[in-house]
Amino acid sequence: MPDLVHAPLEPLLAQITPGNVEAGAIVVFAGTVRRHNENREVAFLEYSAHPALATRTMAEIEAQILGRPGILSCRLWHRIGRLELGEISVLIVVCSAHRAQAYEASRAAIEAVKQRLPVWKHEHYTDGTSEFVEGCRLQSS
Amino acid sequence: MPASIRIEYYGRLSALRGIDHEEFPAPTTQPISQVLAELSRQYPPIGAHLSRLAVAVDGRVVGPDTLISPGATLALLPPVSGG
Repeated sequence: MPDLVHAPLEPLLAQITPGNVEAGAIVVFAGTVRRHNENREVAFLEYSAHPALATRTMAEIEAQILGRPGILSCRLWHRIGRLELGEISVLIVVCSAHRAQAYEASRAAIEAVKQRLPVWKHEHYTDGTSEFVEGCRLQSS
Repeated sequence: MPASIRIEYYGRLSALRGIDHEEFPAPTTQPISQVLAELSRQYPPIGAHLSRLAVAVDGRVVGPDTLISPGATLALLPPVSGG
């Protein structure tokens, strides 16, 4: 499955395997759509992206995580389009020989997504209004 | 030879401008900052966001001093909020 997808990510959870007998840990991080944000009640979200730049950035993040000591694999996926409450918006699967390495790498991966991925969250509220979430300014490389 | 660049609007900028892309007159090679200044002059609401904007040319994030030539694509990228 490509990194940037319209389809639900939930089915991927059932397919997670280490795929490597040297692995001793898999850490799975799933970001999900939350009902409340800053005291406002969310009805649903819409994610949009710069597809080419986002796809390349995700590949770069995966490669950088894979370059950390002990990391055997790293995959990440991000939904775009409309998401309902409780759905998975981002999924990160890191596999390593030891758990500490996988936990740290998973955290590094989601922070990189937050700071570098050209994706925009548009929150729609139950009162009929909507707002784009203020995020992180991209830096030129 | 094209005499314009393609400007793409993302996130809140697309909502603000009411379109997701347009052809913008740019007959010569010039710094991106110059294009942004002209865009701000024509569309002040876009100008209000310039200080937090990143730009990409043909899919690469670059600085505002980078030169852009007619025929290129300039993406205007507001602060990101994935995850």
